[in-house]
This record gives sequence, C-alpha cells and structure tokens, in this order.
Amino acid sequence: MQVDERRKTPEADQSLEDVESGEPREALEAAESLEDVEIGERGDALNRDETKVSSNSNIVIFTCGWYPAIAADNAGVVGEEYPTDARIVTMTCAGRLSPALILDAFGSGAQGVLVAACKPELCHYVNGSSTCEQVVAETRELAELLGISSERIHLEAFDTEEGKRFADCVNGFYKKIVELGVIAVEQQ
Amino acid sequence: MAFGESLGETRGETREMKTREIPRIGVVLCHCGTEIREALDLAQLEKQIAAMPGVVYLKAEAYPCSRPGIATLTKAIRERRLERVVIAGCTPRLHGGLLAQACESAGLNRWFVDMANIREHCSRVHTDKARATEKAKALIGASIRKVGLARSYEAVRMKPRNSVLVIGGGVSGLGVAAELVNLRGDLPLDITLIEKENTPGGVLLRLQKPYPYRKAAGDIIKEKLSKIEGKVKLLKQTEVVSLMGAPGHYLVRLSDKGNVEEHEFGAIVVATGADCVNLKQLAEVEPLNTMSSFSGRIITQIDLETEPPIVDFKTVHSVLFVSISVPELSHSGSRVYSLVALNNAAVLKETNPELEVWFLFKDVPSDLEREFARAKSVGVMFVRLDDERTIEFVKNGLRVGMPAGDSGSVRVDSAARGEAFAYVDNGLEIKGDLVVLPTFLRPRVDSRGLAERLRIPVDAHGFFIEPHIKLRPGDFIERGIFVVGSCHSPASILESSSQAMVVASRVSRFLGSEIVRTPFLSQIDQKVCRGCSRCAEACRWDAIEMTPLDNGLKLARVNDTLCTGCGVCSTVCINGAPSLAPVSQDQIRAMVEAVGA
Amino acid sequence: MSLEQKIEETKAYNCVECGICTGSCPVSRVNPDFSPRLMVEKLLLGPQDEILSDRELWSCLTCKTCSVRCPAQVDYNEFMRAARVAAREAGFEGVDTHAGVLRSIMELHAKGFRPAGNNWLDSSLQTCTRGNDFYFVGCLPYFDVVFRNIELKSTPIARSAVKLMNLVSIIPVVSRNERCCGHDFYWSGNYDGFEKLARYNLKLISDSGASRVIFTCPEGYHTFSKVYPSVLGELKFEVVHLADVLLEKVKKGELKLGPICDRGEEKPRGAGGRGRATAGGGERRVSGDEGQADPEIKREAGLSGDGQETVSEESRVKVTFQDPCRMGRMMGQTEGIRELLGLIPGIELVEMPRNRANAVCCGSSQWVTCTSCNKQIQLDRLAEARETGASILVTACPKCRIHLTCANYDKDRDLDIEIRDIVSLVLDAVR
Repeated sequence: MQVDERRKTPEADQSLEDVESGEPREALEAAESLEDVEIGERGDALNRDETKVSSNSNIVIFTCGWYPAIAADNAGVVGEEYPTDARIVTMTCAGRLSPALILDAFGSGAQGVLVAACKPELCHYVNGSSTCEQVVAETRELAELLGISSERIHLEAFDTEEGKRFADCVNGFYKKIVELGVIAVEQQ
Repeated sequence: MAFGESLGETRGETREMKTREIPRIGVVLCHCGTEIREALDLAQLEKQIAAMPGVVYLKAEAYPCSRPGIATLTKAIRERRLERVVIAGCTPRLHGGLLAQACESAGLNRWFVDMANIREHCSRVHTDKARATEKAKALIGASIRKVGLARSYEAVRMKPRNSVLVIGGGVSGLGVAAELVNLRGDLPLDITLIEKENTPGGVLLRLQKPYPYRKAAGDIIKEKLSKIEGKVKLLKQTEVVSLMGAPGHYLVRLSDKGNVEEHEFGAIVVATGADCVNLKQLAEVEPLNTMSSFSGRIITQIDLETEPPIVDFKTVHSVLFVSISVPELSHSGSRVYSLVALNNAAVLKETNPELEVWFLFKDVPSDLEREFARAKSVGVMFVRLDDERTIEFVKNGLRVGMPAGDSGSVRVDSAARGEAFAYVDNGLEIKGDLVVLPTFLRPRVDSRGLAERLRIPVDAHGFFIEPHIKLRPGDFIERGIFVVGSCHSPASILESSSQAMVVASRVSRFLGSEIVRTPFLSQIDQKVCRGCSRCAEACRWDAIEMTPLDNGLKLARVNDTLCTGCGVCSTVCINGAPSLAPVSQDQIRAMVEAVGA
Repeated sequence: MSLEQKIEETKAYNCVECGICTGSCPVSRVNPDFSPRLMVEKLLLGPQDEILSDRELWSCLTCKTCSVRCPAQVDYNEFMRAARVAAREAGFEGVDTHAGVLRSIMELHAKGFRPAGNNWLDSSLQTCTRGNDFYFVGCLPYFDVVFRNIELKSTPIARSAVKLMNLVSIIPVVSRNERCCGHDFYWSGNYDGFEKLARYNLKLISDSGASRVIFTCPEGYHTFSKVYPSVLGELKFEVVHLADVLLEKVKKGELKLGPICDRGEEKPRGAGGRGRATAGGGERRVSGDEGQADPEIKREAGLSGDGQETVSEESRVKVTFQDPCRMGRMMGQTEGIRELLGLIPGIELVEMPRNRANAVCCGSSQWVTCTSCNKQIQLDRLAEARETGASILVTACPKCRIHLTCANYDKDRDLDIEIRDIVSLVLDAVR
C-alpha cells in the first residue's frame, strides 16, 4: 500500500445520532486527523511495540469458544473480579491449541498460561478437549526443560454457568503465579 | 516426471504467503451507554488506539449496536474505504453477528471484522481503572493485529435434505412422526421411522391403561400408527450402524437384520426411550439393598400393569408404596416416578377399598398437587420421609428409622389404623405384605454405543445430552440431531408426547432453513502435506481422506462437508500443512503476543 | 548488508547457467518448481519482491551440493541464506514444521529463558560444572519430547557420549543452561535470533573455563566452528566432533573395541513392529549386555596378541554411512568417522553410491518446510542404503537420524534397515 493513498479523505462524517445523550464528539476530531499522519511516523510494521503493554505477572488464558467462553462472559455478568493481568484469547476449540502457542505466550512476556477447555466428554468436536489435554502435558514437559515451571501451565474444564468458578480459578492461578515470581530471563 | 505431474494435479489448495501490507483499519470504541465509559479511561484509550499502526479511523460510540450506530459504521466503511474493522465493546456473542452482518452489507467480508471484549472480559471484572485501561489497550491491540492478518472467507451455505430419520418407535418417536405429518400437510417430506423390535410401541407395550388416558395402551399405539400410515416409512428390526456427514446432509447406514443400506437424511430425531430397572438391579442399590429381609412380595410399579395381574389383591391386606429417590438411579426426571406412584396408589385404593395403602415419600413435586390430593381423598395414607429418616426392610414391612435423639414423631397423614403400624425404638414400623417400588428408568444398555455412533454426548448416567442446548458461540449451525423423550431424561407419557410436538416443530423449521456451514474449515496445503496420515487418524469426523499419488506417497484431503473446524488436524500435523480458515495460526500468535506482553 | 551486496559477495552474478546445480540438487529431483538456478535467475532478472515472496525460497536444504560443483563458484548457500534474511524482513516466512514447537523453543532460548535441560543425565555418568572439556548436547532433550510421535529417543546419544568420554578419562562440563546453537535460525534467515543464541552460548562456554568443546551434532559443530567466528570473532576454544576424539583414543590404545552386539535397542518400533534388520551373508545375531560380548563370540573371535580381535565371517555386520552435510561436504571431514568404523572389528563398511562430498542430504532442514518432496528424498536415500546390503545405516548427526527415521516410520513403507548413531555404535563396541 503506497503512502500517497493515505492522504486526506473526503469530509468526515457529520451526522451522528445517538440513542442516549452525551455523544462523545471528541473522537470525531481524532478520526479526521489520523489520515494526515504518514505511516513512517507511526511505525511500519505490525510487530511494533506500540501494541505491547508492560506488566509483571501477565497470564494468558486460552479459552475454548464454547462453554468456557460463556463461563468467562458469565464472570462479568455475575460481578466477579479477577486481576487485570489476566488476558483472554478465545479459540474455536481447545483442540486447536498447540505447544508452540503456549510457549509463545511465555515468550511474549506472560508468566502463566491457563487453558480453559470443555470437559472432554462434552467437547463439541468430540476429541478436541482430550487432544488439548495431551498438548498441555507435552508442553509442560518442554516448559520444564526451558526453565519454566510446569506449574505455570494449568488446564481446567468449565461448564457454561461457572462464571464464579472461572473467576475463582483465575484468581487462584494468579496468586500462584505471583508466588512463583517472574521467570528468570538472562538479559544480554 | 511422474511425481511432478501428480503434484501438479493435486495442486488446488495451496496457501498464500502472508505479506507485509498494512490494511486500513477502523476502530469503533463502544461506551456501552455509560457503562464502559465510567469503568475505563476512554480518553487515554483513544489516544493509544489512534497511534496504533494501520488505524485510519477511530470512532467512539455510545451504542454501536444501535441503528444509528450501525448506520455510522457502514457509512464509514464506504466513505473511508476501510479494509478492516475492530469494535471494542461487549462480548461478541451478543452482537457479533449483527455487527458482522452490518459490515458485510457495506461490502466488507465478515472475517475482516473483529470484536474486542472490553466489557465482560475487562470493565466488568476489574475495579482498578488505570490497569483495566491498560488491559483494554492490549485486548484492542490484539484484535487489530488479528484483523490485520485476516483473509477474506465465504461460508458455504446449503439447504438441508428434505428427509428425517426417527430412531425409535415408542411414544416419543411415534409422536414426532405423527406431528411431522401433521405439520407438513401437503408438502413433501420423507420420514423414516426405525424400530429395533418387531413391533412399535416401546414402553406402551407393557402398560394397560396409561395415566391420564382413558384408553388402553394398545389402542393408543394403534391410533398413532394410523396417523402415520402411508406417510411414514416404518422399518422394523432396524438399527443405526453408522453416521457420517454434516447437519442437513447425514449419511446413515441402517441395518435390517444384517442387511445394510445407506440413506441420506437432513435431520435425525433420537427417541430410543429408556429401560426399566428390574428388582434384581434394585436390590444392589442403597437404601433398597436390605430387601431380602422382607418376607412378603416386592414388585415395581410397572408390574402392576401386567395382564393377567401378577398379584391377587384379595390375598393382600396392606400395600406399601415406596416413592423415594435413589441417587444412583435418579435423574432429573424423578417427577415421573412420583406421578406413576401416586396414580397407581389412588387407582389401587379406588378399586380395592378394603386395602390399606401406604405411601412413603420424600418429596412430591409441587405440580402434582392434584394427583396427591386425589390419592389422599380416597384414603391413601402418607408417611413423609426426609434426609435423616431412612427406610429399612424388616420381616413384616418397612421400618422408618429416625436418628438417635430425635424425639419427634413421624407425620402420618390421614386416619391410620392402629394395627397397621407401631412406634418402635427410634422408628416407626409399618406392616405390609406387598411393597411396590418405583420403576426407575435408566438409559438403554446400548445407549453409549448409539451415542458414539451419532457423536452426541451422554451424561454420567448415560442419557443423551442434546447438543447445543444453551449455546451459540458465534457459530451458525444447529446440529440436525434432536433428542426427545426418556432417552434424554425419564419422562412420563404425557411429557414425552408434548416434547414430541415441540421437537417436530423444531425439525420442520430446521429443514426449512438455510444452513450456513461452519466457516471454520481445515485447508490442507497440498504442497506441504507429507502423507503421514496423522491428521486422518486424529479426525473424529472422518473428514480427511488419504489420496494416493503416483509415486506411492499419499496426500491428505479434507472433505468440506464433513469438516467441523475443530483444528485437531493442525495440532497433530508434523508439517504445518493444515490451516484453519478463516482464523490462521498466525493470527492467534499475533493476539498472544499482544496480550502476553 | 543488503541483498545486492550479498549477491556480489556470493558471486551469484557469475552464474553461467550451466545447470549443474539443478542436476545435483536433491530437491530439484523431486520438486519441479525448485532449482538453484531458477532461484538465482529469479533474483537477478526479476523484481526483488518476486523471489522474496516465493515459497520455493524455503525449499532449499542448504546442503551445498550445488555450490561444491558449481564451475563459477557461486556460494549458493550463503546467497540463499541472505535472501531468506531479506524475505523475513519483508514479512515472508517458510512453513514451520511440528506446529512451530521447535521454533518456539529456539525463540525462548534466544529471548534469554534459562533452560534446565539436563534431565537425561543419570548417576553413572560423570560430569562437572567447570573443566577443560565442554560437551555441547544441543537440542536432544527437547527432541525426546517432540519425537515421541515416531518413538525415537535422542538423549541416549548424549548418554553414550558422556559414557565414552568417561571411559577415556574425560569428565566433561555438561551445562543445564545450554541453548540451541543457532544453526536453524542462521540458515532460515533469522539472523538476529541466531546472534543472540551465539552470544549466550559463548558466554556459557567462557564461564565454564573450557578450552575445548565436543559435539555429537555436526550442525552445532559447524555452527560453532565456521559460523560463530565469522560473525563474532575468533573462538577462544577448540571445537571438535566426538568421533574424532574417539578415533584418536582408539588409535592410541586408550579405548579398546570389539565386535558390536546387534541389539537394535534404539530402533523405534513402528506400528506392527518392525523386526530386526536382516542382512545378507548369514549373519549371526548376538545379544548381550551393553559392552559385554557373548562368550561364544569371544571364543570365535579369538583375541589376538595386539588386542585386536579377529572376527569370523558369521559375525560381520555390514553398515553403511550417511555423511552429514555439515561435516562432510561443508567441512571436508569425511574420513575420520570412516576410519573409526574401520577400527571396530567385524564392521564392514559398504558405501552408498552417493557418498562423501556426493552424499545426499537427509532431506529436511531447519524445521522449516518439510513436504512430501522431502519425504521422497528420504525414502530414496533409505532405499539406496538398503541396496548396499547393509543392515545398519550409521549416522553421525541426530538430525539425520530423526529425519530418516521419520520417513521410515510411516505405515505405507517399510525399509528394513536399522538407523544408529555412530556414538552409540562405538559404545556397543567398547570392551
């Protein structure tokens, strides 16, 4: 995509109706000015650190898109609370999770990985959840070899209404991760 | 040379290499009225999002899901030539479909659209505003990365076949078939009903006058059969051997005494019913395992239906109906057991007024008040049990035990004759010469086998669990397999009949709708596959076939209609050949990098 | 360095389009879309974007067969590598094998994660934390986990290696914090990752005080020996493959060898159980404890005065040898291991038609892009090995062993030949 194509665009949208009062007009200004900025100024690669947020004890929660995703949403509905360091990545099926994805999470700075899958007998795809069990077992072995305690990888099965249990599990796991501390990484 | 040629032929499913172009990304930041606005520092968030690579449009909206909100979005897509859209707001399960559709109407493929959940996964579960905002930035950043790498994809749409298979010719099965005939009227519909036994009827065959009908069971069966005569293909002594295919296009192999034939069906209804637990099986379960100390007769409810009667009531003085739940055998359907027991107790007392009829129970479901009242009014005597009061079989009847120290008496309803019971230490002994136990229903012996063949889950007891009873996580298909009657959970005849009506209506609607096949499909890169067969072995849907090449090697090919998009093939592949459209491994990796940091 | 500069340096412009490279290339033989010459052409004549986004860029095994024969002396390997670095920067990558797990592991190493990889050691092995000799194990412990799917364990090579070293009075430093040598990153264009790994490893060696690093993996050996110095300066230690160390010890008489026991312990059992290798010539099958010869064999062998055993016709074991690209063709070291094999009584080395500098690569490289073409190369090589009549195919590289075993593992083929590493073989022969 050439930079020239990103010049000033046709007039920004003016007519904004809103259901409630208090339309946030400030954003409109932001929308207009974005077009004028050259790509170079904002970074030229999708790998830019702009999207990275630094934190010490991040947990990545791989969530199966069926029951556990509902449980995760449910946690919000029933007013549960868990640490902001816990971030959810949703996948269609836990069976899609490969060891590399879990290790990549650690490589990106996560200190723990929680896998929220369906109970194997309820897996929508039949053997996705049980495949995930094997993957997690294999990854824990590799993690140990890499100096990452296998306790930092945890697999838990959730059913739909278990919003509270989801939050409890995240809280418990987070506590353990904080106890285990930050993974020692040799800087150069 | 031969190998090269064959490779050329199979070269249909090659994957593109990713490129470094940054698409034009538009971001809509939802305030969710005021909810998200109050929980997160949106001004800060806006600044950060505006600076992310690729973002050329950023809009804060109170309700993007509202009509004006959607109008704004579609307009922006067109006018700003947006190539990707990220909506940061509530869970995609709520409005994801709606927003994706809106974007499609503006000409943007729905897989270029993503929703970042900053509500259920963020604003609603955190109280630290600053840190929650930080997390929201990470979540939105992840979505931006994800759509940046996305490729367009069109889901396959198809109409289901106009045919139904009903498995089981009992109350439920016949009911579904009859109702389907009724609903379709003159419209064509192929209905096949298969029954394992030689005669249809199921448990009805063992009953005389099922409550609340006034006619004999045999007549009921005849009536139902007449409704489907000529309109339904009734196959006796036929069973399901295997099931392949996808909703709307099932390939089923049926065996008729060993003769196997393949059929195609659009929908399948499972109505295989349940087995009655017999005395021998009951004797092994608590608290009924003390049965042997009783010197009188013990039967179960269904034995009362036997013609000629199994018991001559002229020789019996006192009948004890035991209506308790047995954890091992009880399922959510304990209502039916109470219903049957109450009804039988009342009928027995009505037809044999001199008989003493006792009814021992723990709970009676509140909606059986009428039956309860009826039994009471004809003189059935009720003894209420509770968790601490156990029953025990003794020589002449039953003893209701009370925990040590409990001085209260057991409540005995209705006028009770002194000789029939007596208070003994810590308990109450009730004399009886006939005990009637509930006829528990348990899944059929072969239910697990059938569940495996049909690929539907079973619960701990072995009852079928209806697929997708509660959920629609952004997937579009309703599986075309429906479960009805006692094979799902013990149901009375009335309950089964009403369930059958409901299911028939759902089946009819399913067959009339268009199925949007799961957009998630595995695509195996023919240039990468090594032919090791691991994917084909791991695929529980038999969706992967190994096709031989000229040089002796094999290549894996995915059958689109059978693939469900679970991704297990890509996990076990040693080469990285399968990729799951429309969300690739790279996209997930990008998301992980964004949130892990 | 830009791609243009690399083209000059590698002499790619000198290509006379003779096509010898294509004729030599094992990949070209099975993949009509790839040939070294085609790649050079694409780069020199087409727009740069074309070659960088070409997926065939990743089909090259970097085995250097083409370069060795090129009359214009084009350094094709280096050219390929530079093109891959540029491709990566432009956002193109090859397809990771094994769902990217090896790549992930190496990335974590490069990011500084501290491995704890020495669970394969047992109490019978003597090692230390500081010393003169450093045994570089490489990725073997990880391979044990990842290649369960072909029932192959690689750490026995490491155990055999340490045992042998102990037998010749070497107590090596074995570090749990070892990281990948960086070979795969280097050749697949991830230069930054490679450099990070190199720095970590150099520090590790220097902290151990070792003056010599011993390898059982030619890829590590080549990377340390040839690549590290060219980018990080001269090494402060010596680098050697264990086979050469053993050869020296055997020649000096410090290590005595006898006929090997044809145990086949490390051979994987595929489905249906592949039986033991059969060989022509009516061989006697001998089983026994590790290192201890069957008494019958000893009698038959008849120890001669100088310690060398003579072996009867029946106990001869025919083996053939897979030259590792990195040691053979790329470093010119082909005779050392052959000499070592020759010193094992009863071993008869029969060469495959394509050997030494003409040896065929084991078919897969850098854990990137492994397809049915690669499998075809492997199956052809296995067939070639079998045709020699050998019962054992000896490898000197854990990667060769894995790739050839993998190709052999699938149910549709059964090439009845045992694949064993030289180190384990020598341990079997030790008296």
